[in-house]
Amino acid sequence: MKLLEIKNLHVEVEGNEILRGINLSVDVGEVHAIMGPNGSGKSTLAGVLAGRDAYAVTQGEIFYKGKDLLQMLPEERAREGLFLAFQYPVDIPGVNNLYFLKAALNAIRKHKGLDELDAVDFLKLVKSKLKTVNLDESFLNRPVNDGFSGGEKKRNEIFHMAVLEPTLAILDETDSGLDIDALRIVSDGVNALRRLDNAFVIITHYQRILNYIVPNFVHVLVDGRIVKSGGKELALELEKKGYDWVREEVEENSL
Amino acid sequence: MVDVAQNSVLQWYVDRFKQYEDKLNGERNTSYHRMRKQAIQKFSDIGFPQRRDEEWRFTNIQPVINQHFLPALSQPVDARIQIDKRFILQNAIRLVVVDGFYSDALSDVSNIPDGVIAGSFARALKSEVPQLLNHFGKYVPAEKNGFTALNAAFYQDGIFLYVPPALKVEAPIQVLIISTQRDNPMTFSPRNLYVMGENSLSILIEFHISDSTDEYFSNVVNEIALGSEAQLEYSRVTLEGASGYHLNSTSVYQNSGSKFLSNDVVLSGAIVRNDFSISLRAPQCECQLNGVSVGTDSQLIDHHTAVEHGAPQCTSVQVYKTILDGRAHGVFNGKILVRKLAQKTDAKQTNRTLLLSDDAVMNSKPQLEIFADDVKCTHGAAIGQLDEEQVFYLRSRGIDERTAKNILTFAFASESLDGIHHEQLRSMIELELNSKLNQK
Repeated sequence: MKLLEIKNLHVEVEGNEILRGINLSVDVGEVHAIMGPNGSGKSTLAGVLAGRDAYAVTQGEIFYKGKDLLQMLPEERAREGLFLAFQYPVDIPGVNNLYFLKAALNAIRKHKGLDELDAVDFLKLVKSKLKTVNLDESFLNRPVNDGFSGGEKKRNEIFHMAVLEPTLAILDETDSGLDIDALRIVSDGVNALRRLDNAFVIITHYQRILNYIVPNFVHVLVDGRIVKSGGKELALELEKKGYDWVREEVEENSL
Repeated sequence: MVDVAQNSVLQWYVDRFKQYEDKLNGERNTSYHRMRKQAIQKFSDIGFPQRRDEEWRFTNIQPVINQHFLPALSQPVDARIQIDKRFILQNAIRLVVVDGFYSDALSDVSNIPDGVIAGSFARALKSEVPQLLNHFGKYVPAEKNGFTALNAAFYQDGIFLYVPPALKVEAPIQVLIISTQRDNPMTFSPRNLYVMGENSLSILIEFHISDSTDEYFSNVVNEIALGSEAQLEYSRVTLEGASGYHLNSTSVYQNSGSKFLSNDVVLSGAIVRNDFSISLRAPQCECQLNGVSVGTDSQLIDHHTAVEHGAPQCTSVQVYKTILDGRAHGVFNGKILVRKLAQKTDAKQTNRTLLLSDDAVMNSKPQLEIFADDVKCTHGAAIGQLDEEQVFYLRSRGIDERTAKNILTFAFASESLDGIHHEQLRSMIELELNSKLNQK
């Protein structure tokens, strides 16, 4: 049984078909990169996996740990170890980052049958995780994402991921808008979490982040379909030749 | 003009007044009794407000008007009333009013500083304390409306507080206005006067609580005077019984350079109507009014604020937030009046409402009247629902939908509680707020 199994997934958003037959298997210990041009459906795929309800699945199925993922509520998915790092993390004024994270971690721990962490142990944990993303302790007591710079928001996402220790983490364009230092911090954070019992799906426009997080597989998503899959070399080839190269290849094949 | 339908209920109160008067002896010839008589006359002339009155347009007060409430003219029989421990603030000067009467037994004035007068309004009135006579009836005139007239006719007691000039009162002063369960539907008329001397500094915390499950009507009048440079932090928590009606007229008179901060928290009561008037009558006054209200079921919560800029260089800020669920109805009417001589006025007003159900209703109305030409006045009103993206963000991290919504609702309110600097009070309010949100 694979960790994640997507079969012939078709998804519509407001009547437009965005995903048109996605097939993808992700197993533990793997890092998959999904690359593609703007509007190819990358973020839709991330949203469907996390349980956004703006999307209508018209065909296909998704199994996560052998269970029907589409039947699970977003919070159930999270408690089962699925994590989405948002492309645009939303500001939540009035909700303290630390308080929020504690509520989230304890909801997950409770689901796993573990004791809730008390304030002291929790603080110890988050302080150690803060270091991995090079965020200042003051971030703990600020409202979630409120007044954060773009880079800080992305690092905060990785910080949340480090605390929640997901089994399957989906990073939706976490690299976009990051300068080279922030990119390195984010990548180091991800690499530190890589284990044999978890997996990552990294959604990105650019090959750049894959210099730091080396994927096992690279998939190219164009017009709602995965048109090409390969090893890490594929990303370099894409960078060199551009997405048009894949598009042309697809069109040739379909002729 | 009074409606025919109102006549019987007006006559009811007029008759109750006559009965009361007949039992009086020497008091009948006092000047304050003459004021009461004038007030009942005014009441019978003007009657209760009607929906056609602009100030009452959105507020259905029929349940209050239709009932024949018996004015409480004597102390409750059972003197063994216990105050819920949750509401007792530690290390505070405690002043307690039960059913409109000051209670020596429940109050704690053991650590009032020298020069401070704190206790029964009626006693201070009878002994003609000059600091009371100088201010009583000046800021909330009996003829303001039918309710203030009724209070002026039937009030028996309440709190009188006087803080002398240049005194910093370290201990918070807690006023508890309690309405108890009685055999008949009663109306209580607490009358409170708070006089803060020049350059004094105080924290005043007023609670309106009840253990009654039946209908009652608490008809409150508060007058507050701030001397020059005086500073007052005034927090008010309204936690009336589920069938209780609370009508409150509070007027604040500010002298030059004084600072007034209020935090008005309304959590329960079938109908709560707070009229809050601030008069900035000398230069360089500051006032900040914060409000947080949570209405569920078919509660009606109405805030009518009126800030009068009557002198130059004063600032006023109003931030009122309302959360409505079920079939609750909220009203905010915020008037800012800037008189011609009040140049360099800086007045801000914000009203934000969170509607948690399809059946909740909010009426929000800013009302700006500006006669000066060099002023900054802004106002804004927003009525909305919880942000779906925020709810999804929380859920995607493992928090269930209901908890996520409660966290966001609480966050919406909590920003307005930042003005409460008394820690125990703030955590008590947060607890009450959370338990109310979790009850839904």
